[in-house]
Amino acid sequence: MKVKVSIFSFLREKLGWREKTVELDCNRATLREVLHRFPDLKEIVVNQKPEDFIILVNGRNIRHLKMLDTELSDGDEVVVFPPGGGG
Amino acid sequence: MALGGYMGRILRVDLYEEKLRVEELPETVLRKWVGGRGLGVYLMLREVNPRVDPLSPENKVILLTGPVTGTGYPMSGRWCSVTKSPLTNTIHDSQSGGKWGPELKFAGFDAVIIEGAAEDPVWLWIHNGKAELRCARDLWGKDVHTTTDKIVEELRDEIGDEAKKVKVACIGPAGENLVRFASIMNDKNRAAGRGGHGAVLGAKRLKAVAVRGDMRPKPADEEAFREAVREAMGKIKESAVTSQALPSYGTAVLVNIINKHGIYPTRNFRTGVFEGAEKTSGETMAETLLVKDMVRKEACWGCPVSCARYTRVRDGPWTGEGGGPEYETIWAFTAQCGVDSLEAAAKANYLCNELGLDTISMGHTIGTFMELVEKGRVPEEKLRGLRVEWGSQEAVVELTWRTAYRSGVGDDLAEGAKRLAEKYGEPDVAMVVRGQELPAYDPRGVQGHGLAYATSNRGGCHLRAYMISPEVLSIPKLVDRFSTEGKPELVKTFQDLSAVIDSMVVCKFSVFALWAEDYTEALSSVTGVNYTVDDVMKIGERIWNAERAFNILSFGDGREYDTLPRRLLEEPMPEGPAKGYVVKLGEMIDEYYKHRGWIDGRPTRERLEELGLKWLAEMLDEENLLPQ
Repeated sequence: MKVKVSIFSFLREKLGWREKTVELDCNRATLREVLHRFPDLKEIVVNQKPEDFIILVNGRNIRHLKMLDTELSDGDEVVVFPPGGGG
Repeated sequence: MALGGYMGRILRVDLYEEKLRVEELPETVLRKWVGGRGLGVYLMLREVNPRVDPLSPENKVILLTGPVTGTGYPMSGRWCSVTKSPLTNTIHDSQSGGKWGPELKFAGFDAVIIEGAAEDPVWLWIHNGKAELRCARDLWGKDVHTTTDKIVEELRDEIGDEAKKVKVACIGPAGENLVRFASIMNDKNRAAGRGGHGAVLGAKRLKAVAVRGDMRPKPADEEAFREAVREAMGKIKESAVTSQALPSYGTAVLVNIINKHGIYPTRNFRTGVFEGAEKTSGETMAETLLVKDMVRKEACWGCPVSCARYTRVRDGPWTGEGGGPEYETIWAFTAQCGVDSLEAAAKANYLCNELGLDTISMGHTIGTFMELVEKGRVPEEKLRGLRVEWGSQEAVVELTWRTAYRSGVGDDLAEGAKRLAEKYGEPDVAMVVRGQELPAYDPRGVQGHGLAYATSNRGGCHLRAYMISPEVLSIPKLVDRFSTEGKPELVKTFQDLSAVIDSMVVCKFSVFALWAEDYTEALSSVTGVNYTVDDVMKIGERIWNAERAFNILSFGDGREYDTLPRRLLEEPMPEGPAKGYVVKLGEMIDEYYKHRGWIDGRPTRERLEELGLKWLAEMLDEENLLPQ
């Protein structure tokens, strides 16, 4: 299965990439498993406080799903925003 | 003992008689209404017949600061204008940043009440406790930047180098031409944008208000106030939003966030996903147009955040430079019009700054017009050769010009989206509440935000109750954006708290770091009044009810106005993460009224009396406007 991961604002500055697609050798995987493929992102997001970030799976906040245990399938999109605001 | 924080004096300017008068405000009034928005609403109710034509001399414009303005409290370098809006016919406050607000206090006044209308154009000069009206015939017709420079130049002959410190608020050609969403601009690039306050000044032929002074407000309890400042600064530094996101990317950091939630209104709210978001995002702006050296200079007075942007377009058809664009402005001139050019949006923004137009209403109304053209409602000859279609950068820039000068079809756009859509026979195309154009969040995917739009006393507005904060940004904590449960109470809380913040005249973005206890501490220590959190929230509720009462007296406000455009209530979002949703207003509105103690969108006598507004209940009762 393929999953697209996009990152924004200062995560881009820190990690030096914007968007990556990862191919996994299975039909389903948890977000935690997918993030294993992105050690730099995992280091910041998982190893610190995931609740400080806005993480969406197909536009749904993972806090309303199963956090890092949210199951992903082929074609899903994960986006990670550092805290942001404005008006 | 006089209350701390205030200068203790307001200036009344009668333009008809050309008379200026200095007055004091009773302490009892300040205790109940604080300043800024609250004080403005109170004064309007006391002094102006709510049924007055907004563009007649009988309407007033009140320019106000708050008790913390100019004290060094973080994120308080602001001011606000209160009037009856020519766009909405509602009571209306419009807030602006920059440096003008604190300087008005340093010049010796908490507020300026402007009444009547001048025969010939004038401008007002306020300097260290003194004020005078001057002839503005040479300034009439000039843009905002030229007007500002010319006033400073004129004053240089009198006060020498001190003229560099003069701050100018003024209107541009759009205000003179009575565009219903003309702004009052200050410090060149900052706007009291929404609601057409600039048109009201234009109708009064008051071109500008220049301020300068060395006086300083003094907090009542200096030690406690210093502590409140220290604590607030600490929290602002701790918050990743106010210490990282806003300083680095400005409000435009929201473009991608809101688009990825599927609630970024595109092509006049037909969908919530914009294919050009990345290209027009805050991230892209930081890499391309942003002039980093100017960020500190553009910051509001004393602000530790510095979210304001300054940009430069170096090549292509839209060269120029200036303040902005903010998130809302980018949206209005890009996604709302299907345009994917940050440069075109920046150019339209520069024009709005110079001509004195509200960027939200301007871009939004162009999007409305594009839909009307697409529907075949606009005769070809009206366009005078301009190609008006989704995605047209030329249309966005050219229609901004035409609107400011009411040239050709610009005369129709200058009336705002509601009147425009009605004129061309498609009233449902107008995405407005109470006649004010909706901003950059499609409420179908944020239910509480939908209720906040529908019940907003000043018409379509995201800042009466910024429900995006809990529904999207997880501040103070995340709630389910698709659910209606608990939203009415939360909307009421946000509305009341926001009314207090606007009355202290503190930036709304402070809410990303502070909450009711913090504002209470600041207000108590600066004024010397021992407020509790409940007192403060009650002040907010009082203001909210007073605004609603003004609107009831003005046009019979109530349940029928507490609604949203049909598109948002009946047409499910066609794609993206919010696909299939409409705003379930029917599930929320009665519960909202219950929390407010209202019947059908109108406060009861009991509720008004509990809030110390018996006199307002009497006013409504005399007109048989209290709910039975």
